[in-house]
Amino acid sequence: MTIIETVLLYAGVPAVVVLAVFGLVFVGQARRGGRRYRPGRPYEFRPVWFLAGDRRMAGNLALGTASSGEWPATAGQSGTGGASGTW
Amino acid sequence: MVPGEHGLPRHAEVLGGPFGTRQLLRLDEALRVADRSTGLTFSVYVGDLDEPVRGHAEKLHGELADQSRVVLIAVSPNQRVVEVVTGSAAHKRIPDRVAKLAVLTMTASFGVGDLAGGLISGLSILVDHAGRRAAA
Repeated sequence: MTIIETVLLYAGVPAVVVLAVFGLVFVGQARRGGRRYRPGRPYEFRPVWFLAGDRRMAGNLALGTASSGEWPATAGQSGTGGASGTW
Repeated sequence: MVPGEHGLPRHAEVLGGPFGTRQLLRLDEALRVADRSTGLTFSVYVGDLDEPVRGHAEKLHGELADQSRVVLIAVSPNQRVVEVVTGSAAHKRIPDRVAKLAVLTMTASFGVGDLAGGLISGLSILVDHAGRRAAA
């Protein structure tokens, strides 16, 4: 074997294999794990609000935190129940 | 309820959100079944909540039509907080004790990063305890 053949066989082939494995792992992560919630990582998605059927909410989905002072005064505060929790 | 109409907004921001397409479909189905079987209106909000968190969740609840029959689940992954708000009519069928049970179930799933699974489990607990539509 010439020197070039030897280098290609013992350095080139392993390098190609390593790169292929890296590429596969990276593509898989970008496709699946890129957009989901992970505890402890910042959650940077826009707020979403789900409602079933034909019922529509009065506002829209653009419920940014900046608009907190503009909520309509409602009588819903009385008689409501529920529960809170953290994780 | 209009047959075949999906309540999930099919905007790009929802599809680009934290839920996959299959999770969105499961969530949609869970919400529709919950509304149909109980006669109450279930709603799920996922996003940041202002302080005080409880007050913000109640304001969101107050935005919905026919709010006495509305059950809102508000989740803030950044603050790691979940709030269940029941309207006055819904509160009679879903006592706070049951809401707390649903919250505990949801936080168990949220703690391992499963937002959609937790929401669906929590919804099923609330629906089971709310009973059938005739009980209203």
